[in-house]
Amino acid sequence: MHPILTANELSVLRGGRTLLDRVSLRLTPGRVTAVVGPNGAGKSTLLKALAGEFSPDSGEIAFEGRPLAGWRPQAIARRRAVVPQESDLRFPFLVEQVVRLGRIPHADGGEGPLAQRFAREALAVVDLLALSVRHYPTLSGGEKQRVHLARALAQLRAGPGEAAPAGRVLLLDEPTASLDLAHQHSVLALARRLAVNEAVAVLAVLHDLNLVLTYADDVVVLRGGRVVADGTVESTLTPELVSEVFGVPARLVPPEQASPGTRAQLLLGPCAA
Amino acid sequence: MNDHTPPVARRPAVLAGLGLLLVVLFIAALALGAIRLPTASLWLGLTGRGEELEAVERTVLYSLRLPRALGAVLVGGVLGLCGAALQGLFRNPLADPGLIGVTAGAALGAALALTYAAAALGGVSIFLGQLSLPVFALAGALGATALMHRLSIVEGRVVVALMLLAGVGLNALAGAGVGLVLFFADDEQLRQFTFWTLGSLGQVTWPKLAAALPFVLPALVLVPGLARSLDALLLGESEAGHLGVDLARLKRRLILCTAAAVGAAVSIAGGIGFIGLVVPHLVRMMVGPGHRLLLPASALLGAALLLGADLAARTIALPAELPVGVLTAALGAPVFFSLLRRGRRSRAF
Repeated sequence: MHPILTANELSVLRGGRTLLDRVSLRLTPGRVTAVVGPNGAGKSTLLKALAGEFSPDSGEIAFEGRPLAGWRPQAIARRRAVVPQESDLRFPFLVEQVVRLGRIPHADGGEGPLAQRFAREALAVVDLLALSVRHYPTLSGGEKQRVHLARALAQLRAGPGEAAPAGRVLLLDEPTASLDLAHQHSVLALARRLAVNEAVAVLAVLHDLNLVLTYADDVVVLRGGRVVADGTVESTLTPELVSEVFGVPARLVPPEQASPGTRAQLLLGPCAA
Repeated sequence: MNDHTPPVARRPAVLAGLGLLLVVLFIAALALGAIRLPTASLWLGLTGRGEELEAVERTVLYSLRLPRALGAVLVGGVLGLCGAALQGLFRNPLADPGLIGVTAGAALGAALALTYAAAALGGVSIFLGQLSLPVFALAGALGATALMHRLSIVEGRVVVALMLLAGVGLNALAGAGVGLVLFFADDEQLRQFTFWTLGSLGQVTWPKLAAALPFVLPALVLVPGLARSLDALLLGESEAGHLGVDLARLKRRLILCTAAAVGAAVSIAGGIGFIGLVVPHLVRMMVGPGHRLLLPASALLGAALLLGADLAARTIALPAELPVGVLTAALGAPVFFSLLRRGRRSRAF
């Protein structure tokens, strides 16, 4: 598979600080890529650059081989969705209306029966259909995050008359940050299904390395704005690298008693020393 | 679903109801006043058979009430529409058109027009005639907004938070300018300026309406089309960008259209407070925050409220006439306080 979104030698400077230093990355349809690293490593900056929020100071980001600047914002928004870490939407939209906002780049603009169907299907996927006529500001933090995931899912659906999208990208900024354990797993399992079943290229900024080991195919390890290591999860997230980058003892536990097909897990902290 | 019908479904009913309210108030505004026009006369007058009316009725209808009522519709509609749009742009339900410097700039222009314009410009001022005050006020409004827009651009992008602060500074600066101009004014000029700041539709004439229209039209035509982009913007600037909204273009259009329209409205009617702030709130309580409905409904309700307020202002104390801005502020301020308290309770700010 050809990569759909690529970053080449990306550098971002802000106020004399180098936030990203010659970072390269490629997202491929059908694969989940995790970005990990200690605080201040540049994970969110990288995601924002890939989301087109600002232009890098040097280097280039390309979608389907064409530089981001050459795309119409609306055309790319039909094929690239972003789930923010948090959104301070304070106006009393209903949950379903927030999800319909995801259809704004499409021909239906979020109104009419098609947008309603896409919104309801997306809400069902994130297990929030029962709350579709609640006011968004009354939801809990975790529910809000799932509403935005549903919004992104609705955004990535092709409308009638649109070519079935060859490649789509979903960018998740710490999607598990405000979720309980069960929803952390269900959200990442959903991201994984989107990649496998619908050939979406998924990028997720994550903190929990065991979630990375369980759900991601590839990983990019950042520290101080630089890529320290990248590649497939099994070959990259070695205990040695984890101890060095994150500064905690790490030990790999093979999945002997786990079900077949599951990956090894990391034991982290003093218990691994 | 039954008692939670999404606001979208109520759209035609709400707009029809507000439209009907506006029509009823419009007819009342034409009929009522010091001289009462019977329905039969109104009918003749509005169906192009004005020559069959008595001379007094004809003058009252065509020269006084019709331009005045249309002025109220135009000014109230613009203040409601632009108030709603700017609250969306600033993502702050307490924003109003005064925030982008329009009102303060217009006041400075008006003060200059009333004091120095005749002396300084001589022939030009005579040429402008009754339009000299609105032209100066509009120039002041646009100048202030342009300056504020410049001040809030950092690295080629309009920073909305900076714009709010620049607006505060600019209001103070324009206030100082007004103070300086008025310090040298005579009593008659002071009186005229005071009445201008209180707001009144009594000075609206056909030529002023015609002059205001080109500045108001872009807002009336373009702003409702920005509804979905404004919806996206409520999520946040980054999120709107992720949804394909061209933020730079959206901000430019909104600021230009609202500055021109509000500038024109303020220049023909003076300072009319609280319509731009309160009306979008009332509409949001009725139909929710979606701009597809909020924008046209705010325009309709703004027009209806100002028409009603003006009708009250010129009839409750006959033969005297209250400044309509006093009435809108006196009624709007208590609503504003209750909004502040509600907002505080729901931790909105």
